[in-house]
Amino acid sequence: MQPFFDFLGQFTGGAANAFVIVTSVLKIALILGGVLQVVPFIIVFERKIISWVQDRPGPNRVGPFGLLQGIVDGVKLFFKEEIMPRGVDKGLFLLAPCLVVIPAFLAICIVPVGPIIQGEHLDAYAGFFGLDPGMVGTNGEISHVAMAISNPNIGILYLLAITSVGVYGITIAGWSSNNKWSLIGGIRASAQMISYEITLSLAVIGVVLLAGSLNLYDIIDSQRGGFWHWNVIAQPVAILLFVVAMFAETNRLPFDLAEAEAELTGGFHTEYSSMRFALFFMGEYVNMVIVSAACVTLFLGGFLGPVPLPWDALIEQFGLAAILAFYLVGPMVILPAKIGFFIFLFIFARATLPRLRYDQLMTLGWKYMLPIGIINLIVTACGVAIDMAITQDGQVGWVTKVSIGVVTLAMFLGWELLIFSRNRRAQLAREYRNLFRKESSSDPALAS
Amino acid sequence: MFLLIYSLLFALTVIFALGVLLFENTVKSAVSLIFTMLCIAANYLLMRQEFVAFIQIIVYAGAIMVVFLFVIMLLNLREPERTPWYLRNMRYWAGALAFLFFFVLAWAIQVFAVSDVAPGAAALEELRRESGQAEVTQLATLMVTQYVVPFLLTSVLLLVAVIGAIVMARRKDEDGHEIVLDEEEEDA
Repeated sequence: MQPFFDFLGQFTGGAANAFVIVTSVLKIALILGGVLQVVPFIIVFERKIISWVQDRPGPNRVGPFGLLQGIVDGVKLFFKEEIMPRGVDKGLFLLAPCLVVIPAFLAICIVPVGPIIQGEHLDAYAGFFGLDPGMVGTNGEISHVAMAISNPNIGILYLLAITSVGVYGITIAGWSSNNKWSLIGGIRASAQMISYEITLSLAVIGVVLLAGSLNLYDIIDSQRGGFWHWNVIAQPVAILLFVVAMFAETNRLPFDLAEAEAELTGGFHTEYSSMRFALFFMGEYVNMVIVSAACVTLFLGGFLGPVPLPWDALIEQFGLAAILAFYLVGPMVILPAKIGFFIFLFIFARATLPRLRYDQLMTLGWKYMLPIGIINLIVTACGVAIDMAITQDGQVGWVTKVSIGVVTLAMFLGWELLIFSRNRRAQLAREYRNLFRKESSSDPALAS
Repeated sequence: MFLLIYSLLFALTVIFALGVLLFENTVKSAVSLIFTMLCIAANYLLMRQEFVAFIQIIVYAGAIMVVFLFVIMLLNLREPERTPWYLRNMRYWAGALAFLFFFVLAWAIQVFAVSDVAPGAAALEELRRESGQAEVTQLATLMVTQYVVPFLLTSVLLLVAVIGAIVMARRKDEDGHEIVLDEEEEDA
């Protein structure tokens, strides 16, 4: 392989640059291609699960068990007529679907799908591909290769920035369609997404505090050592908030007020047809994969397995095969399984929960989730500060993590119980009053 | 290569900024402004200021512009409104002010770039050279040690703004009583 990179290096200013470019292109092709290939199958999966919940067979004509239905649907959308309604704002109408899809794909860039290849392992790979150890290797120009398209220091901020830009596609689609329902859908979407973004950020900050870094690989490293070290133990309330906010951010049921077929005939994408509609559809599913991947990375240890295996001993015994397994089991098995769980959760929620009313949505976001997020953050910050003051090693110990988790969960459950009992009492009072009103209204003379 | 990307990005920034002024449609102007913000963030990225770049996107392109767009859409400003008399010659005043602002900005950049008048930037640069830590860590360290008073004062300012917004948004009926929209609240 070395002559190939030497040849490319003539155009890119050095063989190392060529190596970086080639590996980046490969990573983009693999990760982006993987996600894109999975989308049609998620759609089939969704239709199947919903049909099972509703006790009907679901799609079963195309391919074995109807598995190819998603691809056929895609082809159908591709060949449909593209309708441009009269009175739309042409430029913005065409821009909107792009603004949905581009941020979704941009966000994939930083999801770590596997461990960083470095040290002896990198030497082994370089030897396997016949690369110059001066270029790729422990002492070479390139001393580590991360299994993520990009690994910026401020990974989390990147993710939040991209999700905050993702609102525009839907909002602009709603406005440019020149349709009342679309406009209502677009406005609902933007109000909803800016409200829940705050909760999302608050849930994330707790994890950042525990890891002491914004880098996603650092965050995963802080969860190393088995499932009892995962952030879900320290942040049980935050993951709950994150999951709810993530449903709202992707406009999925029970938060799909922007689409709301029953009242808005499809909301922001009412006027879209053919591939433009397909782009919205695809953007939604890619977004689902991304937020699931983000949740897994932040709270469930990312590509780490549930139990730490003695990899050093295994590599000692089996050599390159074990090294390959060490690097591939994360991206090929563990990460897809964890993401798959969240996708299932998305679908199952859609099959079981009714849509929220708009004021309920806002009440939930601002009066319940935001205060819970702030209190969770304060407790976490106190815990981390106490731990730092005692141990002074710059890392949060396991005992602290568990105690933070227990305290936040206890406070959360206590608060829930309080609200529940208060609501129950209010409901009883209301029923009683209604009873009284009815009796008195039967006699107009008494009522006045 | 770097210069090419840099100049392309710069040209894009200027084009979008011009779009903000030249589009007759307010929504298009706002969208143009969003892209200007994104281009500025990209410029920061090229200068290797990742943190500032993404804060720029989160705060300006993400949060502030959403509210802008939201308000413009609700108002539905399709027809240009009649301008009052004191704004008739706005164009010339604005031109003169923009010219003046340009000079002030150029002067400020000149001053801050060559001297240590900007103490925060200088201190940050020094810290970076000394420790080799991540950008965010240094920024946070400075913010809660050397610049803790300005930092806290800013948060107080924001709090005042939030309270002001709430006070203004509270509607009252003729007798001065608050209008409660939420029925559930009353019952509880």
